[in-house]
Amino acid sequence: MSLDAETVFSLHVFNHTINVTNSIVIQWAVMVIITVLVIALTKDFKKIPGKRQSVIEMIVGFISNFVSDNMGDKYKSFIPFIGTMGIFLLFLNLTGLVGVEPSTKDINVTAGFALISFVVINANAFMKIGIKGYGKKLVRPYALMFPMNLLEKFTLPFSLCLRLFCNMLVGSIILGLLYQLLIYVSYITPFVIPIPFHFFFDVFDGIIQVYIFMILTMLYTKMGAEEE
Amino acid sequence: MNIDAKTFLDGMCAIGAGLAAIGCLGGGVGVGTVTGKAIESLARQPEAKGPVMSTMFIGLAFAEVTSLYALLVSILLLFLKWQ
Repeated sequence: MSLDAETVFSLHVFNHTINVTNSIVIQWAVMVIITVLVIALTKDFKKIPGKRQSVIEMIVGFISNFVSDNMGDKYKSFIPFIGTMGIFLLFLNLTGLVGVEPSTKDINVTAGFALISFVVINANAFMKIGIKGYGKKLVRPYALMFPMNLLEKFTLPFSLCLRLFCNMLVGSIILGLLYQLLIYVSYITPFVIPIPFHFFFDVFDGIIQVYIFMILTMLYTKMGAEEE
Repeated sequence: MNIDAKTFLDGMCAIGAGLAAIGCLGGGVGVGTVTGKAIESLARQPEAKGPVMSTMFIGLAFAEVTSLYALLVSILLLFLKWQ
Protein backbone atom coordinates (compact mmCIF):
# COMPACT_ATOMS: atom_id res chain seq x y z
CA MET A 1 0.00 0.00 0.00
CA SER A 2 1.30 3.44 -0.78
CA LEU A 3 0.16 7.01 -0.35
CA ASP A 4 0.55 7.89 -4.03
CA ALA A 5 -2.41 7.55 -6.34
CA GLU A 6 -2.07 5.10 -9.22
CA THR A 7 -1.34 6.55 -12.63
CA VAL A 8 -3.96 5.54 -15.15
CA PHE A 9 -2.42 7.12 -18.26
CA SER A 10 0.06 9.85 -19.12
CA LEU A 11 -0.32 12.86 -21.35
CA HIS A 12 2.63 14.31 -23.25
CA VAL A 13 2.31 18.05 -23.75
CA PHE A 14 5.32 20.08 -24.94
CA ASN A 15 8.00 17.84 -23.43
CA HIS A 16 6.10 17.63 -20.17
CA THR A 17 4.54 14.44 -18.93
CA ILE A 18 1.28 14.84 -17.08
CA ASN A 19 0.29 11.76 -15.13
CA VAL A 20 -3.45 11.36 -14.87
CA THR A 21 -4.08 9.49 -11.63
CA ASN A 22 -7.10 7.43 -10.73
CA SER A 23 -8.31 10.02 -8.24
CA ILE A 24 -8.75 12.45 -11.13
CA VAL A 25 -10.55 9.84 -13.21
CA ILE A 26 -12.91 9.14 -10.29
CA GLN A 27 -13.58 12.87 -10.00
CA TRP A 28 -14.42 13.04 -13.70
CA ALA A 29 -16.81 10.12 -13.30
CA VAL A 30 -18.45 11.80 -10.30
CA MET A 31 -18.75 15.06 -12.24
CA VAL A 32 -20.48 13.22 -15.09
CA ILE A 33 -22.82 11.46 -12.66
CA ILE A 34 -23.74 14.71 -10.90
CA THR A 35 -24.28 16.54 -14.20
CA VAL A 36 -26.48 13.79 -15.61
CA LEU A 37 -28.45 13.57 -12.35
CA VAL A 38 -28.97 17.32 -12.23
CA ILE A 39 -30.06 17.53 -15.86
CA ALA A 40 -32.36 14.53 -15.56
CA LEU A 41 -33.91 15.55 -12.25
CA THR A 42 -34.49 19.23 -12.93
CA LYS A 43 -36.37 18.79 -16.20
CA ASP A 44 -39.97 20.01 -16.59
CA PHE A 45 -40.52 21.73 -13.26
CA LYS A 46 -44.09 22.78 -12.57
CA LYS A 47 -45.69 25.38 -10.38
CA ILE A 48 -47.30 22.71 -8.24
CA PRO A 49 -44.42 20.39 -7.28
CA GLY A 50 -44.66 16.68 -7.80
CA LYS A 51 -42.80 14.05 -5.78
CA ARG A 52 -39.43 14.45 -7.50
CA GLN A 53 -39.58 18.23 -7.49
CA SER A 54 -40.45 18.47 -3.79
CA VAL A 55 -37.45 16.30 -2.87
CA ILE A 56 -35.13 18.55 -4.87
CA GLU A 57 -36.73 21.65 -3.39
CA MET A 58 -36.11 20.15 0.06
CA ILE A 59 -32.42 19.63 -0.69
CA VAL A 60 -31.97 23.13 -2.08
CA GLY A 61 -33.92 24.59 0.83
CA PHE A 62 -31.78 22.68 3.31
CA ILE A 63 -28.53 24.01 1.83
CA SER A 64 -29.94 27.51 1.57
CA ASN A 65 -31.06 27.46 5.20
CA PHE A 66 -27.74 25.97 6.29
CA VAL A 67 -25.77 28.78 4.66
CA SER A 68 -28.12 31.55 5.81
CA ASP A 69 -28.10 30.27 9.41
CA ASN A 70 -24.33 30.23 9.56
CA MET A 71 -23.41 33.29 7.51
CA GLY A 72 -26.43 35.56 7.73
CA ASP A 73 -28.54 36.97 4.93
CA LYS A 74 -25.74 39.18 3.59
CA TYR A 75 -24.01 36.13 2.10
CA LYS A 76 -26.87 34.79 0.00
CA SER A 77 -24.55 34.75 -3.05
CA PHE A 78 -22.44 32.05 -1.39
CA ILE A 79 -25.23 29.47 -1.41
CA PRO A 80 -24.39 28.01 -4.87
CA PHE A 81 -20.67 27.79 -4.11
CA ILE A 82 -21.01 26.13 -0.70
CA GLY A 83 -23.78 23.85 -1.92
CA THR A 84 -21.87 22.71 -4.99
CA MET A 85 -18.74 22.02 -2.99
CA GLY A 86 -20.73 20.10 -0.40
CA ILE A 87 -22.54 17.93 -2.94
CA PHE A 88 -19.35 17.21 -4.89
CA LEU A 89 -17.39 16.31 -1.74
CA LEU A 90 -20.25 14.16 -0.50
CA PHE A 91 -20.32 12.16 -3.73
CA LEU A 92 -16.53 11.81 -3.65
CA ASN A 93 -16.61 10.51 -0.08
CA LEU A 94 -19.40 8.06 -0.78
CA THR A 95 -17.67 6.29 -3.68
CA GLY A 96 -16.40 3.75 -1.12
CA LEU A 97 -19.89 2.28 -1.10
CA VAL A 98 -19.66 1.10 -4.71
CA GLY A 99 -16.23 -0.46 -4.35
CA VAL A 100 -14.09 2.47 -5.49
CA GLU A 101 -11.75 3.86 -2.86
CA PRO A 102 -12.75 7.48 -2.17
CA SER A 103 -10.54 9.84 -4.12
CA THR A 104 -10.43 12.22 -1.15
CA LYS A 105 -7.89 9.82 0.35
CA ASP A 106 -5.39 11.37 -2.05
CA ILE A 107 -3.93 14.49 -0.43
CA ASN A 108 -3.73 16.32 -3.77
CA VAL A 109 -7.51 16.28 -4.14
CA THR A 110 -8.19 17.67 -0.68
CA ALA A 111 -5.38 20.20 -1.12
CA GLY A 112 -7.18 21.43 -4.22
CA PHE A 113 -10.39 21.90 -2.25
CA ALA A 114 -8.55 23.64 0.57
CA LEU A 115 -6.89 25.95 -1.96
CA ILE A 116 -10.30 26.88 -3.35
CA SER A 117 -11.53 27.74 0.16
CA PHE A 118 -8.35 29.70 0.86
CA VAL A 119 -8.78 31.82 -2.28
CA VAL A 120 -12.47 32.37 -1.58
CA ILE A 121 -11.86 33.36 2.06
CA ASN A 122 -9.11 35.85 1.25
CA ALA A 123 -10.72 37.27 -1.90
CA ASN A 124 -13.93 37.84 0.03
CA ALA A 125 -12.00 39.56 2.82
CA PHE A 126 -10.15 41.81 0.34
CA MET A 127 -13.35 42.72 -1.45
CA LYS A 128 -15.37 43.45 1.68
CA ILE A 129 -12.88 45.35 3.85
CA GLY A 130 -10.18 46.37 1.37
CA ILE A 131 -6.41 46.10 1.65
CA LYS A 132 -6.32 48.59 4.50
CA GLY A 133 -8.81 46.70 6.60
CA TYR A 134 -7.08 43.41 5.81
CA GLY A 135 -3.74 44.81 6.96
CA LYS A 136 -5.35 46.22 10.09
CA LYS A 137 -6.70 42.78 10.95
CA LEU A 138 -3.21 41.31 10.60
CA VAL A 139 -1.72 43.50 13.35
CA ARG A 140 -4.53 42.92 15.79
CA PRO A 141 -4.44 43.17 18.83
CA TYR A 142 -0.97 44.71 18.59
CA ALA A 143 1.85 44.76 16.05
CA LEU A 144 3.87 41.99 17.69
CA MET A 145 1.15 39.50 16.79
CA PHE A 146 1.72 40.01 13.05
CA PRO A 147 3.73 36.77 12.48
CA MET A 148 1.19 34.69 14.36
CA ASN A 149 -1.72 36.17 12.42
CA LEU A 150 0.07 35.62 9.13
CA LEU A 151 0.85 32.05 10.12
CA GLU A 152 -2.80 31.49 10.98
CA LYS A 153 -3.81 32.52 7.45
CA PHE A 154 -1.61 29.82 5.94
CA THR A 155 -2.18 27.01 8.42
CA LEU A 156 -5.91 27.29 7.78
CA PRO A 157 -5.97 25.61 4.32
CA PHE A 158 -3.35 23.18 5.57
CA SER A 159 -5.54 22.01 8.44
CA LEU A 160 -8.65 21.97 6.22
CA CYS A 161 -6.97 19.67 3.73
CA LEU A 162 -5.30 17.40 6.29
CA ARG A 163 -8.53 16.92 8.24
CA LEU A 164 -10.47 15.58 5.28
CA PHE A 165 -7.52 13.63 3.89
CA CYS A 166 -6.62 11.90 7.19
CA ASN A 167 -10.18 10.88 7.93
CA MET A 168 -10.75 9.31 4.53
CA LEU A 169 -7.28 7.71 4.43
CA VAL A 170 -7.77 6.11 7.84
CA GLY A 171 -11.14 4.77 6.76
CA SER A 172 -9.75 3.22 3.61
CA ILE A 173 -6.71 1.76 5.43
CA ILE A 174 -8.88 0.11 8.09
CA LEU A 175 -11.31 -1.23 5.49
CA GLY A 176 -8.40 -2.59 3.45
CA LEU A 177 -6.93 -4.34 6.49
CA LEU A 178 -10.35 -5.74 7.33
CA TYR A 179 -10.82 -7.16 3.83
CA GLN A 180 -7.36 -8.72 3.93
CA LEU A 181 -8.19 -10.32 7.27
CA LEU A 182 -11.58 -11.62 6.17
CA ILE A 183 -10.14 -13.42 3.17
CA TYR A 184 -8.44 -15.83 5.57
CA VAL A 185 -11.51 -16.38 7.72
CA SER A 186 -13.98 -17.75 5.21
CA TYR A 187 -15.47 -16.99 1.83
CA ILE A 188 -18.86 -15.73 3.03
CA THR A 189 -17.86 -13.23 5.74
CA PRO A 190 -16.42 -10.61 3.35
CA PHE A 191 -19.99 -9.92 2.21
CA VAL A 192 -21.54 -9.40 5.66
CA ILE A 193 -19.03 -8.17 8.25
CA PRO A 194 -17.69 -5.06 6.41
CA ILE A 195 -21.18 -3.50 6.12
CA PRO A 196 -21.18 -1.72 9.52
CA PHE A 197 -17.58 -0.63 8.95
CA HIS A 198 -18.51 0.79 5.56
CA PHE A 199 -21.44 2.53 7.18
CA PHE A 200 -19.22 4.14 9.80
CA PHE A 201 -16.15 5.04 7.76
CA ASP A 202 -17.79 5.93 4.45
CA VAL A 203 -21.25 7.23 5.26
CA PHE A 204 -20.95 8.65 8.79
CA ASP A 205 -17.38 9.93 8.56
CA GLY A 206 -17.88 11.19 5.02
CA ILE A 207 -20.99 13.18 5.87
CA ILE A 208 -19.51 14.61 9.08
CA GLN A 209 -16.31 15.68 7.32
CA VAL A 210 -18.22 17.35 4.48
CA TYR A 211 -20.35 19.14 7.07
CA ILE A 212 -17.25 20.34 8.92
CA PHE A 213 -15.52 21.41 5.71
CA MET A 214 -18.55 23.46 4.67
CA ILE A 215 -19.09 24.98 8.10
CA LEU A 216 -15.43 25.95 8.53
CA THR A 217 -15.29 27.53 5.07
CA MET A 218 -18.39 29.56 5.88
CA LEU A 219 -17.13 30.53 9.31
CA TYR A 220 -13.75 31.73 8.09
CA THR A 221 -15.28 33.56 5.13
CA LYS A 222 -17.57 35.40 7.49
CA MET A 223 -14.91 36.06 10.12
CA GLY A 224 -12.35 37.26 7.59
CA ALA A 225 -14.62 40.01 6.31
CA GLU A 226 -15.71 41.34 9.69
CA GLU A 227 -14.48 44.72 10.77
CA GLU A 228 -13.96 45.79 14.35
CA MET B 1 23.78 -11.06 16.06
CA ASN B 2 24.72 -8.10 13.95
CA ILE B 3 22.29 -5.47 12.76
CA ASP B 4 23.07 -3.45 9.66
CA ALA B 5 22.17 0.19 9.28
CA LYS B 6 19.04 -0.34 7.17
CA THR B 7 17.46 -2.81 9.56
CA PHE B 8 18.17 -0.48 12.46
CA LEU B 9 16.56 2.42 10.58
CA ASP B 10 13.49 0.34 9.76
CA GLY B 11 13.09 -0.74 13.36
CA MET B 12 13.45 2.80 14.62
CA CYS B 13 10.87 3.99 12.06
CA ALA B 14 8.41 1.40 13.31
CA ILE B 15 9.03 2.37 16.94
CA GLY B 16 8.66 6.03 16.07
CA ALA B 17 5.38 5.37 14.28
CA GLY B 18 4.06 3.54 17.31
CA LEU B 19 5.16 6.32 19.64
CA ALA B 20 3.61 8.99 17.40
CA ALA B 21 0.26 7.25 17.61
CA ILE B 22 0.24 7.97 21.37
CA GLY B 23 -0.60 11.54 20.35
CA CYS B 24 -4.10 10.33 19.50
CA LEU B 25 -4.76 10.26 23.26
CA GLY B 26 -5.05 14.05 23.35
CA GLY B 27 -7.64 14.06 20.61
CA GLY B 28 -9.69 11.48 22.48
CA VAL B 29 -9.66 13.57 25.66
CA GLY B 30 -10.60 16.68 23.67
CA VAL B 31 -13.50 15.02 21.86
CA GLY B 32 -14.81 13.60 25.12
CA THR B 33 -14.68 16.96 26.86
CA VAL B 34 -16.38 18.78 23.98
CA THR B 35 -19.22 16.27 23.72
CA GLY B 36 -19.69 16.06 27.50
CA LYS B 37 -19.97 19.81 27.87
CA ALA B 38 -22.34 20.01 24.90
CA ILE B 39 -24.62 17.39 26.49
CA GLU B 40 -24.50 19.25 29.80
CA SER B 41 -25.59 22.47 28.18
CA LEU B 42 -28.26 20.65 26.17
CA ALA B 43 -29.68 19.10 29.33
CA ARG B 44 -29.86 22.55 30.89
CA GLN B 45 -31.32 24.26 27.82
CA PRO B 46 -32.88 21.81 25.38
CA GLU B 47 -34.29 24.61 23.20
CA ALA B 48 -30.77 25.73 22.22
CA LYS B 49 -30.13 22.51 20.31
CA GLY B 50 -29.28 24.01 16.91
CA PRO B 51 -26.54 26.47 17.92
CA VAL B 52 -25.06 24.08 20.51
CA MET B 53 -24.84 21.27 17.97
CA SER B 54 -23.15 23.37 15.28
CA THR B 55 -20.67 24.84 17.77
CA MET B 56 -20.02 21.34 19.05
CA PHE B 57 -19.16 20.10 15.58
CA ILE B 58 -16.68 22.95 15.06
CA GLY B 59 -15.10 22.18 18.44
CA LEU B 60 -14.98 18.49 17.54
CA ALA B 61 -13.20 19.31 14.30
CA PHE B 62 -10.54 21.31 16.11
CA ALA B 63 -10.08 18.71 18.86
CA GLU B 64 -9.91 15.88 16.37
CA VAL B 65 -7.36 17.41 14.04
CA THR B 66 -4.56 17.24 16.61
CA SER B 67 -4.87 13.47 16.85
CA LEU B 68 -5.01 13.31 13.06
CA TYR B 69 -1.66 15.09 12.89
CA ALA B 70 -0.18 12.45 15.19
CA LEU B 71 -1.68 9.78 13.00
CA LEU B 72 -0.30 11.46 9.88
CA VAL B 73 3.23 11.38 11.35
CA SER B 74 3.00 7.66 12.01
CA ILE B 75 1.45 6.95 8.59
CA LEU B 76 4.15 8.94 6.83
CA LEU B 77 6.86 7.11 8.78
CA LEU B 78 5.40 3.74 7.84
CA PHE B 79 4.60 4.44 4.20
CA LEU B 80 7.47 6.64 3.11
CA LYS B 81 10.42 5.60 5.26
CA TRP B 82 9.74 1.98 6.11
CA GLN B 83 10.74 -0.20 3.20
